[in-house]
Order: sequence, then C-alpha cells, then structure tokens
Amino acid sequence: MNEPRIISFDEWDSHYIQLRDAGMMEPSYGGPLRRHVDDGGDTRLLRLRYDNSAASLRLWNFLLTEEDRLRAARAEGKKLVGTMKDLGTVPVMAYSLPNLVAFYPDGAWWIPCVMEMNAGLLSIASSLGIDETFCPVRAMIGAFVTQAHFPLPDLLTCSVGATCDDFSAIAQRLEGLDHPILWWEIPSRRHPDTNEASIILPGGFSAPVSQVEFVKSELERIRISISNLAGMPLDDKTLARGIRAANRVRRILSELRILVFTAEICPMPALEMQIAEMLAIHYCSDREEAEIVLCELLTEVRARVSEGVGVLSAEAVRVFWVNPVADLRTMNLLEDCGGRICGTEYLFAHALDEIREDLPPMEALARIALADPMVGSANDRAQRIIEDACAFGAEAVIISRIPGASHCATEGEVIADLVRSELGLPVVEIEVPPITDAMIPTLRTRIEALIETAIRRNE
Amino acid sequence: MLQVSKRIIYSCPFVPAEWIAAHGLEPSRIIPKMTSSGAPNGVCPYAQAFTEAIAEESDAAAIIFTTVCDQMRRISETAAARTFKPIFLMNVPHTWQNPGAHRLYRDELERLGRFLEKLSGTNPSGGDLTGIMSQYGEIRQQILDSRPNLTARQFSEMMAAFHHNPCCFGILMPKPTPQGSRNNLLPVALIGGPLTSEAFGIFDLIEQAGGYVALDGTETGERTLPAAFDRRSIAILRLSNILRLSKDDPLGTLADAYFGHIPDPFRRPNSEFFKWLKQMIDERGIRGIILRHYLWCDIWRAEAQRIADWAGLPFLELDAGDGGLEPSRTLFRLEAFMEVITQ
Ligand code: SF4
Ligand code: SF4
Repeated sequence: MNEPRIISFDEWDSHYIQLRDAGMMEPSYGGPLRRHVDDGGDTRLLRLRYDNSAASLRLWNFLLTEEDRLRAARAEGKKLVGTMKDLGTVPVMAYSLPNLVAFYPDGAWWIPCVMEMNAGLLSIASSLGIDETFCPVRAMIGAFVTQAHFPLPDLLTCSVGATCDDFSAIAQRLEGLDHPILWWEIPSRRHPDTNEASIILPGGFSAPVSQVEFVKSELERIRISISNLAGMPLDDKTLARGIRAANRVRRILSELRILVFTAEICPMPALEMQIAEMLAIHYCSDREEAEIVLCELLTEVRARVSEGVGVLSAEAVRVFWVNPVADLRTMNLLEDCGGRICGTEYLFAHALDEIREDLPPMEALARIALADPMVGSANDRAQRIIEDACAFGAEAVIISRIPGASHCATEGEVIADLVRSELGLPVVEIEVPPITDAMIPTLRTRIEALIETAIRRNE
Repeated sequence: MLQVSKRIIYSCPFVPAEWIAAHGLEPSRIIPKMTSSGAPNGVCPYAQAFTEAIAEESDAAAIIFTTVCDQMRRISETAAARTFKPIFLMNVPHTWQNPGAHRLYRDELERLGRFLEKLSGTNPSGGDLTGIMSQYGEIRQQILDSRPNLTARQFSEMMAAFHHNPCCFGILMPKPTPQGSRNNLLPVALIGGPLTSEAFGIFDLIEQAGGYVALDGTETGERTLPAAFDRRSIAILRLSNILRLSKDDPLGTLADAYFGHIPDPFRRPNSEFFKWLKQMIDERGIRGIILRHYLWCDIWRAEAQRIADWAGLPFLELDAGDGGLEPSRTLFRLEAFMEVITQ
C-alpha cells in the first residue's frame, strides 16, 4: 500500500508514473489525470487536491469518462435512458435490462465547476431565460442545447410533484425545446393519519400504504415504456435481479461510508467520498464497472483502517455535511480548515439504503422512491440527519446552500434549528456557487469558526 | 344555504371552495398584503406574504396549503411552526395525463374532507355538495357575464371578493363602465402568478398607459376558475343524491371541474396552459401579453421566454421584485410597451 496522502494535481503527474512503474493495473479508461484537463477542458481539476491511491485515480478516471461510455453504448446499439430528478430508482429499472444504459442529465450540475464555466452552459441557460435565480442544474438545459456532454437519450423520464421547482421548471423548458419527457408523479410524502394503513420505508420514514400504491402505479408506467424501448419485457424476475445488483453496489458503499466516517483517522478524503456516493445513484453509466471501482476503493480503505493510517490528522473535527456542493473545491477547504467528513446527506440518502429483496420488486422500488428525503418535509429530513449525525459521532454540521434552489430557501433553517435543539451541535449554513474562488476567504472564515466552536465544545 | 361558522384560509385555486362550504365551513381564498420587511433570500415574496397573512387572520379555523409549487409546500412547514391553527397540506398532482393523477387529486379531496369534518362535525351528503356547487356555479357565471360591463380592475376585484367570501357574496355590481371608454385602449392579456392586494393597481396603470386587460390570466383572475358545472347534470345529480336514487358522484364532478380544467404552468406537461392562452388570445383579440411574476418563482420565470417566442405578440415581463408595484417605473415600461404594440 502506497502511503496515504492528499496530493495536488501537479503531484499526480509524477505519482502516476510511480504507480504505473510499480505495476498498477489500469482499466481501459485509465491514464493520468492531466489528460482530462488537456483533452477534456476539465480545468477545475488543476485546483483540487486528491487522495493518492490507485483506487482513487480509477474513481476519477471512471467519473470523467462517462461521456465516452455513453457514446460507446450507443454505438453498440444500446438504448439510452435519461432519468431526470428521481435519484436512484428508475436507473435500477433500466439497468435490469441488458440493452439499456441509464444516465442522469442532471449530472450537468457539475460541468460549470469542473470546466470552470468554459463550457458556457450557464450562459446558454441564461440566454433561454433560466438565469441565476435557478439552481446550477440549469447547466443541464445548456448541455441539451450543445449536445456536447452526453448523447441525446432515446427516452427521457422525469419525476415531478414533490420535487424542487428548479428542476420541474427547467425540465418543462426542455420539453418545450422538443425533448419529449415521460413525466411521473412522486407525491409529497406525508405522515399517515390515525388508523390509516402505513408502511415504514427504508431509512425509517413512514408513509401511508395508499401513497406507496400510487408510486407503484406510476413506476408501472415507467416499466412499460422501458420495456418498449428495450424491446423486451422488464418482468419481475428480471427486475429482482436488477435490484440485487443495485443492492450489491449499495452495500459496498454502505461499508465504505461506515469505515470512513467512523475511523479514528480519516482514511479517505471528502472529495473522493462524495464521488463514490454519487456512483450509487447513477453508476456513471456502467453498473458492473461502478461496482468494481467502489470495491477497489473499499479495499484501499479497509487496508488503511486496519493499519491505522489515513489522510488527515486524528484531531480533525468530525463534520456532518448536508447537500452537495456545486464547487468540489469546497470539500478540500473543509479539510484545510481542520475538519473531516463524518456523515453526509447529499439529497439522496434513500439511494444508499438497500432495496427490499423480500418484496415484489415494484413494491420495493416504490418504497425506496418514496423514502427520498426531498419528497417529505424538512422536519423529516432533519430527523434523518440527526440520527445519522449521532450514529457517526458528528461534532458539527455544515448545511451548504445551493444557489437558487427552491428547497434551500426555507429548509436550512428548519434543519439547523432541529440539529441545534436536539443534538446541541454547532451548525453553519454556507452558500456554495459553482466557482467559489472569490469567496474562499469568507467560506474559510465561517468553516474555521465552526471548527473552533466544535473544538471548544469538546474541551 | 348551510349554516356557516368558521373560516378556512387558503390561496390555491385548486382547493374547491364548494367542498369546504359543504362541510359547514367558510372558504376564504385570501389576497395577502406584501410584507413590509420583504421575503428572506430565496423565498417567493407571495408565499411569504400568504404565510404572514395567516397570523393576521385571527378568526381562521384552519389553513390549507397545497403542493403546486415547492415554495408553498415547504413554507407550509414554516407556517406550521408559527401557528397553533391546524394546517392541511393538500397534494395536488403535477401530472394530469393519466387517470392515476386524477384519482390522487380526488383522494386528496376525500382526505381534506375528513380534516374538515373534524373541524365542523359535518359530513356532507351528495345533496349538500351539489346544492353548493350549483349556487357557486351560478355566481361565477354571473361574474363572468358581467365582465363586459366592468373595468378590468372591477372584474378582477369582484372575482377576488367572491373567492374571499363566497358564502356571503351578493352580486353587488360595481358601477358599469361606459363601453365607449375602451374604444381607444389596446386589449392586452395580463398573465402570471397571484396578485397581492397592492397589485390591483396594475389594471389602472395599464389603462393609463393606453391598454386594458381584456384577459386576466393571473392566478387571481378568470384563468383559475373551475369549469362551469353543467346545470342540467348538476340538477340531476342533486336530485338523485337527495332521493338516494343513484351513486352518481358529485365529488367526482367537482374534482373534474378543478383538476381537470384549470390551466397552469406548474402542470406537467403544461401544454393545456398554452392551449388555453391561444384560445383566449384569439377570442379576445389580444394585442400584447404582460407577464407579471415574482422573484424566485421558477414556475413562471422559466416559461417567460417560451411564452414570448410562442405567442408571436409583443411581450412584456414585469418582475414583481419583492412583490410591490413601483408605479412610476411600471407605468414607464407599460407606456413603452403600448407603443411597441401600435407600431
Ligand atoms: S440541487 Fe436542489 S434545486 Fe437543484 S436540482 Fe437538485 S434538488 Fe433541485
Ligand atoms: S408565485 Fe410562484 S413560487 Fe410563489 S407561490 Fe405562486 S407558484 Fe409558488
């Protein structure tokens, strides 16, 4: 095992050669990180700092080559399903069939950051009237216009109802630009009334049986469209196999998260962990490979934990992080300020929970879709955050506000108040735009103040 | 008419007033005032104004929010934390093209019914409901029929007054405006989100600028009226329910009139809104479109440019900013807009 360290982009050049000379086995999409800057224009990579393991390199290479995989899949005759908004449900259905590949056009969220605005996607969105009062997912409409970041899917699905206004409104504009969408409804999850038949969902929320039944009927519509697209039925047996495969990925990720968040010395930086979590929802367009990539990362983490080594000091303050950051650099910043991640809720906690294998598959999927923390109340979401923060021993909580996001207007306060009152932990809410460079001093001051408060509290 | 005892406050046009009244309660779709302090960053000023207005409605028995937008869905939690009054969050599906969405809406009406019954102790019969449907339907028709004799502002205010207190609404026709006064004014459509009480001045400003609102497509206006009930079938429904002759379903008819009819850009897809707008533009000879939306209202803001491109008519986007109406600036922009129309 390579001594774990956080290294700069430039350091990766020589480190890559060392690893390769030491016999590192690379997949077909492997290679030095620098090519993503030189060939792909992913200039943000220059400013990030990375874990130095071969497993992390593979993770990055896998993430940054998704477009190639999508184009290759199309060239092989596979059909592409763009699954918008629902995080972690429709892809499980699509990947159950061998000739379908699902991806999230929503992933364009990060393009303005990774390409440091050079792709011009936000300007295109603005020119269509989708300005900075919308969340960074507006980059997606730019990506559809340029067709430069993913091939146009053969089927586009989008969940609406209890979703953010940003996405719903942007997806509607997409449809107005002649990209037909199969809309499906995810209702606002509510608490069951007295004497109403109810179900405990994965992750612990409860919902009325009638809502689960409704979501099941919506997913049945998706099942029909997916089967038609694939030219083969997505029957229960096939779907059950797909669910088992999805659960394998979720189990690996679950072990990874537990090991990383609870280890005495943090064995894997926040940035790589955030990417790993994202693999569980979209597999970066190749489910089997995603499993291998995560397995390698887990093997690395297991080895580090068993040897008691890691990438940060043992004194690093344990921070629970709420919401994904539009600028990946912020995760580095947390560690610079003396923090480490121990617990996250990046809007898709439900996509990390295992899908029940002992239920009819559509029922199991409906339950997982309804367990989405974003389709219920902010209070519910806060409760889950509190439970996880407790379980992972968090000493502070950061809520990163997503610029323009409709849910961020009010939920941060609800979550912060509950965390303070129930756990007594210090909380800070920060806003993270796609490029934070000009704000780094302010963000640093706020995060450092939080870390200092947490340290004082522990003394 | 049923005895009315308690006010139920709401703002969403997808809440059927008839259903509340049938439970012996007083439906009140209020028009809030803008908050003087403005809305917090990211919060729709209208949603904020509605939430704050609740505190002033001391005689309200309960408040209904709906899920037509994320802002309202989420601010209902903020409201719940600030009041001891019962709050009901009604799920209004965004999709509508399959029967499941209609069933969900109807199921939500039944759930709302149970909530209302707890407040009033009344479980209305089909006959009670059809009676109110027929009464409200007639009043709405009278308001619509009076449109040619009213100024645009009077028409809009009359609808708002009806929604505010339909149980006690008498047709107190405002003084008719001489028809001739519109002769030199340009017919425009005013579309967008709901109006706050200060915002009714927009009708006057449009007239000062040389136009008149021939189509009120704001959320407060005629766009969000439910479909007219067919008088004959309502009468038959009513009779059969009173006599218990059939299982005909007045609640289903009510659900269809609201969920099956009201065009709105939040619906997915929102094609029916465009169909409705096209039809009204043709019917009313609309020469220009004014869209008035709130800061942070993604639903309307995202559609602005599409509407402008699609309509092929002069188009003016008025950002309600933090909700207020800045008369001099707005008038200036409206005058320029009228000039564009006449060119
Ligand atoms: S980040 Fe928030 S607002 Fe943006 S698309 Fe995701 S859920 Fe919606
Ligand atoms: S104006 Fe827009 S954001 Fe505000 S409550 Fe209405 S639909 Fe929601």
